[in-house]
Amino acid sequence: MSTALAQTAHDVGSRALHWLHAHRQAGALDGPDLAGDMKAYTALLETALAASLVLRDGASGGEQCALAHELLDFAWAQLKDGTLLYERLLRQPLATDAVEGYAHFARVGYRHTGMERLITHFAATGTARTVEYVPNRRLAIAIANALRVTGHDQGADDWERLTRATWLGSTPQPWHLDWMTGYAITHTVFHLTDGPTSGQRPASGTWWANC
Amino acid sequence: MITERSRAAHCASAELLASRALEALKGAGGSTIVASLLQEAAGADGTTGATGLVTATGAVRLLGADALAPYVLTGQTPAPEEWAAVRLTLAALPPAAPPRGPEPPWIRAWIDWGLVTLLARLAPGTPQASPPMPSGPPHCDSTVPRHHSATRTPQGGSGEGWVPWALRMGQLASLALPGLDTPVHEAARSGAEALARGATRSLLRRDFVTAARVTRWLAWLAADNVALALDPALLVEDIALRGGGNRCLLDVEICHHMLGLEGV
Repeated sequence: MSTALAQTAHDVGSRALHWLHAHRQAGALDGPDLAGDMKAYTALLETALAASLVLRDGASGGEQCALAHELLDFAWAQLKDGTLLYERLLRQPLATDAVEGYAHFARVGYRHTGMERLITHFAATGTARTVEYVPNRRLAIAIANALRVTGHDQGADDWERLTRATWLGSTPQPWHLDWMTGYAITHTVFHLTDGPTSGQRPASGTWWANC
Repeated sequence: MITERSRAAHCASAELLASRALEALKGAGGSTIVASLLQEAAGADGTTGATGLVTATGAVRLLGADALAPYVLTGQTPAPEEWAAVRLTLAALPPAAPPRGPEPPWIRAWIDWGLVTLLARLAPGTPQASPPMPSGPPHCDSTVPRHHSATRTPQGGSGEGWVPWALRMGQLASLALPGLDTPVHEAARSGAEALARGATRSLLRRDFVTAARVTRWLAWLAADNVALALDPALLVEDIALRGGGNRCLLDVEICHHMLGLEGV
């Protein structure tokens, strides 16, 4: 990445982080649990994801890291220190969003004992690997994200297999691509670059990427 | 001034001519393509007949070398009046000398060049001297933004982004026939990926007509053993299945011949 591009990326990221921090109270849950406010729940997890990436990259200054920690503290408190995630997964074992959301916190040191036990069980039953999701979502759950962060992934072979199952991993003839698949590709890229082998890319060409 | 009505008449006549060429390519046509179009147009009464003849003449020039593609691709020999008919259309609207100026007349000059060149090769008794060749297109530049226009065309200047470059190659698609090899074809060789992108972009937007035109170059390149980023046979099949209109289907059929898939 050129220096100018890196500077632009840094400026945009910094402004976004400040905005999220300044407006964090607007993302508070409305009510004692998740049931009545799934939109706020989603927003809290996305906020936690953004903040966890600031800390993951390790390229941010002290001020930004402090903002990121405060955002994570806020979201974690809203989720009652993880208890709301635990209750959601306990009642709905196929609600993988709770595992995915938990990973954002777990990777930077927030842990919930009940959730850890539940995820171990969730992985042992095979549920996590067989939920009937589209391939890029599977990548999110199994490898790049939730199970890996919590220590339950099955290694590089799984990563290969799951990558090949995505559109980006197999690159068929490109002209049937639709909007949703394009959206899926952005997620595949995100999960692959967030994963254990983030330096690797799918072997096939992506010459069609900006058609 | 070109009125909407006149434009519609030219398009209809070009579609009719394309259907004649399509039939000839499939071995189901008569003994001529251009001559039968002109005869039918002139056959109408009075003013309508005269106007129809002018329109049909324009249609031949619109299709350019595509009108004669069946003779190139199948080796059929038409009835002698075919060549007289093509010469008539060239005499009625003489091709201008290759221009140096703005682009549209330059594209026009290349399309004319293709028609005149094929006539000279195919028709007995035509002077073999090649007509003067217009200059080549600007080169496709992978380092500029994809919509970037070449600063000066066609004599030089900076290269061009792949979007306008591929569209222009589509406008020049009647040159994408076996046996022709010019600076435009050389540009196609060095822009194979840009052509793959251009065809994909048009298909994603369901613009099958443009996709078919750009795909002509990909089929030509495949026949020339140039490695492609996509599968040209599948690309042509997709356009055949989803596209429509005789000019589009003529492109499909010409591609089939160039890929060795005739009769598909």
